[in-house]
Amino acid sequence: VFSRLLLQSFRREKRRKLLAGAAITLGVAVATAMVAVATNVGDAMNRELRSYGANIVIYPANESVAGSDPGLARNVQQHFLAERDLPRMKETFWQLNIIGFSPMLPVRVKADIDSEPVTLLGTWFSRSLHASTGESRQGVRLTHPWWKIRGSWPRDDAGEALIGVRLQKKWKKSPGETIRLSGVTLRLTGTVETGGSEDDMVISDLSVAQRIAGTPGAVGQVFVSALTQPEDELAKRNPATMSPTTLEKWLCSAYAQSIAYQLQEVIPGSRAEQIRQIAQSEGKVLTRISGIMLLITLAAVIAAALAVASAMASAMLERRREIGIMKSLGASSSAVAAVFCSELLLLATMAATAGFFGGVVLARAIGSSVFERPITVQPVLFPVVLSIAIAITFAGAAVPMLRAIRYSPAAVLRGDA
Amino acid sequence: LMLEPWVRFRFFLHLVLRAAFVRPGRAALQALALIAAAGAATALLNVYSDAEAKLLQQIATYGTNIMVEPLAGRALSASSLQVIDKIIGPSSIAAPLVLLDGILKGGGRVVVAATDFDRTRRLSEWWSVTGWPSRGGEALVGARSMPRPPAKNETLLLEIGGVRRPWRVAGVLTTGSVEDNRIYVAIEDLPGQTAAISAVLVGVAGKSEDIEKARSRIAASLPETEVRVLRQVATGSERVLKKSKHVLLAALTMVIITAALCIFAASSAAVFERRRDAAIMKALGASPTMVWALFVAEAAFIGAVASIPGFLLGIAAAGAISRVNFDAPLQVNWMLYPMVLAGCVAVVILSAAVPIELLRRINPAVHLKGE
Repeated sequence: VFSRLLLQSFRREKRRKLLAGAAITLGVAVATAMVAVATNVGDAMNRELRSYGANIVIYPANESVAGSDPGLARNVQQHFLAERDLPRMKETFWQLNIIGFSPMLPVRVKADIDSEPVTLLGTWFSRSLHASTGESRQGVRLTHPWWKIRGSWPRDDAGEALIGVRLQKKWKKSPGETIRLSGVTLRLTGTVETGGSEDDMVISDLSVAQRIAGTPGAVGQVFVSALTQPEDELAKRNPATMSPTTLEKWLCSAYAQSIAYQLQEVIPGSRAEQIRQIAQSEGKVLTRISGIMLLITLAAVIAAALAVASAMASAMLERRREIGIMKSLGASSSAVAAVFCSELLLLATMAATAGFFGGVVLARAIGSSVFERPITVQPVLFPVVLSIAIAITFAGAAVPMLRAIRYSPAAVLRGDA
Repeated sequence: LMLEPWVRFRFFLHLVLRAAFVRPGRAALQALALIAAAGAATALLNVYSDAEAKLLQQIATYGTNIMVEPLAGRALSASSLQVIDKIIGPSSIAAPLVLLDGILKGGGRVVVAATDFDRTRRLSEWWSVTGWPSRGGEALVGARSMPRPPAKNETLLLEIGGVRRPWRVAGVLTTGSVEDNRIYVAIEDLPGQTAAISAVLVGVAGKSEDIEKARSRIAASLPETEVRVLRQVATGSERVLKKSKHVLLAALTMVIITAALCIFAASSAAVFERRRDAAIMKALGASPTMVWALFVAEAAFIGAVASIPGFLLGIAAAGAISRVNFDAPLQVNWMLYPMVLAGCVAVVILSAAVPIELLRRINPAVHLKGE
């Protein structure tokens, strides 16, 4: 009789069940999608923040000068890093966090068409790199995505170059033409605009700069673009003064400082530092976005819970008569409660399962439309969502159900309750 | 029943209002769902409309995004800073920079950067500084400007523009960029003729359009300069801001759908429960249109009333979110109220409309008999 009651209830009241089920499904779908988006937003935004480019710089430990100071041409680099050590960076603990790196070597060169010397910046554009952990592509196209190129990017090791926009105005050379710098002929493929000192430079292969400088295998500095986590109190501490357990924890956290520290360990004679303007502000933006998503998710989950609870309360209110009839036919309060509870359980389980999968689809859609990559939903979320959905279904239905059971059947059937 | 239109309207109004007071429990449940839904939607709409300004403020701490330099052979006049200040307004900041060669005692050459410390400090929140200069004759020393970073309060003998004098070290500066090579001093401490401004660094708080607008206005007002947008900061901010807005919009849409669902669940059941009322009205001679109008007006009334506490609740929630997340008070957008009100009433009417169609078709005799 019990199972028949249950079955008939679903068969006969399709409209009501469908409405209540739809409320649970939609509520669960929204809650699942929001939780998935909120838990993934940090990671996804971190990748977006990489459009700021490199956030760590590595330079020779003995070199006192960081890069070229615009306006003053006094910087002659004395010490270098070795190009052959670079693949080691993709063999560290943080290899997956390192999105890309690019070596740079600035040299002063003399152009045939200009009496003043200019800077040639040697680098990798997008070169394939073999490391023991696998193959990857590295270069400025990854670490300096904000460079605005008109024309095309040069190929590596093809005697091609980019010319800074200010230098291009001065020399009146357009892409396709060739230039001669300190005896080396380079074909221009495009112009580069950064708003920085690169606008006055020629940018070509690292090997060209090494040949002109007479320093084979030498690298001036390396720019690294890495996924990092926002700085907290632990991040700011000095690793030299930490206890072994704290140091372990510090090294295993993806702070810009700890990634820099470990890069410094694998590149002999180097010092690595976070580029504070980028790294610090990234952390700030990341904390804010994750925080706001968390709070919004909370609001969404509460709204979804309220929607489900109020739908269930309404559905239960409608069925007071049914309870009255059951009781007048001799069903005990516990038997009535058992029938209704099983019905709710069945409904909640089916609707929440559908809702969870709907939420997975929704999260994927949001991921690919906002971040151009799908957001994955952790399977462990399913039992959590299911039990919360069942709990809320029961909570919503409980008060009207208990009240209906408590009333005398006569009063309910007469319509006085 | 031929009554004056005014009397008919008053009677109609009476029925609408009575419905709310005769069945306070049902109306309260519906209103509660509405308040919660309107509150959630208001909170999110307000956070969304305020988030752009808040995030822009955060991103503004990325520092300089426009660089103003004199054309070759020209100099920037001292008044150029005031011109730029007037163009960019109080929410943005500009700092002058004078780059000079300096000679340390013992012959080491260094880059001396003279600036206005108050402005630089606001423009460069990302600098790591162990102590900012607060008095005349103090210097901020870049971590890599000297072979060995000096201790705080140490005295440096530094020659600038042919004048050698002692400078007290106020602190050491670390940025990971070119600033590390420089020794910063205050412009007013420079000897006599050396203070020709090399560049003005400008941090414009705004979107890329605002940055571009500021750039062209500065270029037009200061013809003997070159005004460049620093693409790294400008493009990065633009992209991050766009993505943040999109993800918030997705969240907003989902919360609004849930809120609408919440209202729908409460309202549709409330109307459906009243089959008996509809049947009685019809039996007393009300036309289907009259029954429909009555129920719609009732739903709209509850929706309109509930939107007020819902809106206030939402504002409070948005204020809390803003304080917790951005450490800043919320810029309340009162213009959202008409939107929330219209949304509430529309969803209530819409969710009442489905069961109302069923009510219109009710045959009073059949229903009142209980079949």
